Amino acid sequence: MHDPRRFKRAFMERLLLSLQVAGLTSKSMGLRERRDAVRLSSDVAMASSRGRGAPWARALVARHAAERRNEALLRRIMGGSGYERAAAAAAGAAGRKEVRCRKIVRRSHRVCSSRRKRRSLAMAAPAAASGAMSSARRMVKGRLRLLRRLVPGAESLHGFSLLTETLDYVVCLKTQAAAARLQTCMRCVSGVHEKL
Amino acid sequence: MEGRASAGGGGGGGGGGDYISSLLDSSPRLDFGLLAGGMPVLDGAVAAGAGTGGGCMDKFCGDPGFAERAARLSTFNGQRYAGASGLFGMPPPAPAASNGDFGCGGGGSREASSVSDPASTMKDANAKKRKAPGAKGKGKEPSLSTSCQVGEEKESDAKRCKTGEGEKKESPVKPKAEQAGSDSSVEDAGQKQGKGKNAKPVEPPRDYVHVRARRGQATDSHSLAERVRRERISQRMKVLQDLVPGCNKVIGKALMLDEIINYVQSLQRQVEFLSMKLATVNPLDFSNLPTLLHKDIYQACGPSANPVFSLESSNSAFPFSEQGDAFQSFVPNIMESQCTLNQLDLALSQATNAQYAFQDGTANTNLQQRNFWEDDLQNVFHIDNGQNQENDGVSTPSFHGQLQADHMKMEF
Repeated sequence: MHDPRRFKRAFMERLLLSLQVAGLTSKSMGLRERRDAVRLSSDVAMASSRGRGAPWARALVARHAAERRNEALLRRIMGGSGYERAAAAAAGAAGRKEVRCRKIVRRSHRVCSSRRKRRSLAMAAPAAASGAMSSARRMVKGRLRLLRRLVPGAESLHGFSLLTETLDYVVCLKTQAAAARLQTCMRCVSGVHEKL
Repeated sequence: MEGRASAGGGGGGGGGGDYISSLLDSSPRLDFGLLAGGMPVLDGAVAAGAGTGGGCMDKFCGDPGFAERAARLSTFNGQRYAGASGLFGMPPPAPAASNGDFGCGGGGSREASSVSDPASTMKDANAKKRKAPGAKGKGKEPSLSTSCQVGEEKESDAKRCKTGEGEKKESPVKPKAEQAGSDSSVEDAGQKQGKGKNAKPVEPPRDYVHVRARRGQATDSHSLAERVRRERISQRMKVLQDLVPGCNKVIGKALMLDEIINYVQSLQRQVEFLSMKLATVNPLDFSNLPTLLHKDIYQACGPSANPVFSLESSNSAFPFSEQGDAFQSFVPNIMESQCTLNQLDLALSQATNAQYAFQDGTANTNLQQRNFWEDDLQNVFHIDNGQNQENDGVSTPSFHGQLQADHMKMEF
């Protein structure tokens, strides 16, 4: 059961099935819609083959579910229950930001700042180095912020978990890209074969 | 190095279902000979497809990187168990470290699954076990059979070898007192020590980490915990470094994060571009599904394959796409590479003239080709795609014929 291939294979199956489903409805779709449908189906395939374990999977699907026009397609691909779950996740993600009420935020700020102060005292870093360190730290923080924006579902993660999510997401993106590339080439090749 | 390449080649060469079993059983000394010999169907298609297909296939089979990296990922995730539950063992020597990684990761994560871990609440690590290398683990086993027997300790071994390699690491998290003495003298005798540890039973995973403070470092709980945290983070960065190409040269969190961000962005753009291309190639030609299901999954393309495709394959894309209205909406679309658009436009003008010729034949050839592929692949591929294909096969040819007739009326 420990197989990168298994993951890839599961992903491919789902991708093809969802493409099939998408294809059946694409009789009159323009190119843009088709591209969106393809992207959507590939994302959904990825997320579903990854399982519910990763937050990015849920967030990815939720992102798609949030747009109304994808609803029909998503319903068909994932089944009604899956769609409901995705829609709930989307709503939850939107709502969660407000739910994080001010009290908790304030408390966490207080804790963090106190911890930071204590840490800096305990570290006893020399004052000369701290200038360089703080600028480096600022750069790192900025990049982490970017990363959080890139990786779906990683908005509220910090540090270690953020890196874990990124890792996961990178692997899956690679699978997705490779599978898509193979798909296109396959179809081209087989098409050429047909022609001849 | 060559072990890695051949393992990657083996991973890349597992194009058929029949290869999976062979790969899992035998050592991954497979090379491209298998690839060449083992895919007669594909080679036939490639030969027929002249340069285009051949170019595609070469690029496909060539990339060991992905499987390898996924394997490393799994290696690390297997090791996270050990990391959370307490560390034991010595790091194996650095040259053998990379081999140790794969073997240990494969063996360790396989065994870790059987050992009931309280640390297995890490769900993502559980899920990532799926990605552990099957073939690689087996392949490296002969060399590391003894050391791989003890699952958790080997995990920590592999972990240690990574930590041993790192420069920006602080003190590795020290194991318990029994093994503390020999930690420093690791680099040479890793394998011997691995064998020596065989007698030891697998220690039950702890739920906290025993950390020994280094000399001259603060010993309060906060800084210790923080050191552990920082070490975990740097471990992760290491894995990311292996995963992201080109990250090996940069050292430092900020630069590496930079690389990672660029890579993620480029991957996202690639996926978008490829999905666009997939949408143009032929979304409705599902008679080819058996082929597609069969061929690809175990191979990975290098990113260098992309520009090759965009120039060549778009030419052949057109004759099969049936929708006339799709062509008009090309121009305003946002495309990554302008050259593809131009190619498509060129091909468009050619294809509309040529489309007549295909439309009558397409329905028949679809069906024929589908049967042709299916005969070879039915046994190797386990999915019950018979029903799907039959439905599609029956409906699509007639569908093709109808649509084409309609389009002919519309366009001309």
